Amino acid sequence: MDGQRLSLLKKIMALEFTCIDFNLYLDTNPEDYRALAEYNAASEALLAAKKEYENLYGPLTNYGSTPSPQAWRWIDEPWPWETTF
Amino acid sequence: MASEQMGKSEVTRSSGENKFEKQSFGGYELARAYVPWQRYTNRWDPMEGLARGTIFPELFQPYQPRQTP
Amino acid sequence: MWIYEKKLEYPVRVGGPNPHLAKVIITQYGGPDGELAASLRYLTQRYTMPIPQAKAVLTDIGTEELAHMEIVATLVYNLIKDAPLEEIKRAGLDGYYADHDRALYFVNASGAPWTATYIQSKGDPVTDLYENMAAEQKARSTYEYLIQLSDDPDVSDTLKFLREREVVHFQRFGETLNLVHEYLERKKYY
Repeated sequence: MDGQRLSLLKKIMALEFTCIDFNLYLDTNPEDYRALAEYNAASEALLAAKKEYENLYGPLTNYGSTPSPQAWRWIDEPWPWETTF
Repeated sequence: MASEQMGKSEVTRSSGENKFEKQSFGGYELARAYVPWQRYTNRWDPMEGLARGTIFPELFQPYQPRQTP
Repeated sequence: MWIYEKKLEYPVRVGGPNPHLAKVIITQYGGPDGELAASLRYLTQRYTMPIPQAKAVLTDIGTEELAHMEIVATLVYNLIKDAPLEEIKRAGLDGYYADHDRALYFVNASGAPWTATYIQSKGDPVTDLYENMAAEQKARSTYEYLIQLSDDPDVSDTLKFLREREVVHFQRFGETLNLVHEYLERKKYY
């Protein structure tokens, strides 16, 4: 995986992790509107980063979450356990 | 039958009557566990959070191995 | 319903082949306090939780544990894949190799297969939440022992990440316990 792709992937991982931790916090603290704003901001940034990645390298999620124009790129390697960071 | 029980905030004495006062230790019940509520204060940047394993500094509890001789 | 995202939750790095390390780390894949046990435990308890916060927490943490299972699998896969057969034998993994080659299988550090007896779904939401809090502590302890055993700093980074997640999950289950208790109290009077 080239440097630019790896860098974008790490950005996505960091943004998604932010969403995950806020997601869990909000599940038990749903009335915390400050936290909710953080989640939504991170989610927006995450979706934009994912779109950028997927346009260049193909779908990150299956079952219809993202289209795969021109070719079925879902099967492309590397798969996550093969990625060298 | 007299019985004496000491709680932090009250003493209960029952002498033959069916009077049982609920034990209270500052509002906490016996025989259950309480975890304090996290109240979100501040957060790390995404990359920092990912490296630490949480976005919340107040939940960060790094492993400090005991020194064995 | 689950869909799959083709990325790891954490950027896993491995210093080099290390079957000795793989042999112990695999316990967090198929062992009693590992990620498969955690994910199945929470995902099966969620059906009988009485409040929406609990259904969400069990679903979301159960899902994250599947992602952790994938991380542990990635560690074991990469620690074994280029190891010479001599090293695999020296690590005491020749028995495992005979049954599985270099493939992933659900066993603990001693090779005992995964069993549903590792988990409980008792129905009583209070009981289930205490089970989950205990599970998170056991997982945390196991990661600490694995960190002690690790001679690969890259692997230790990943183990520390997974360990910290257990701390966070414990906090969430504790808060869920508080919410369930409040709900049960309210139900008494209304």
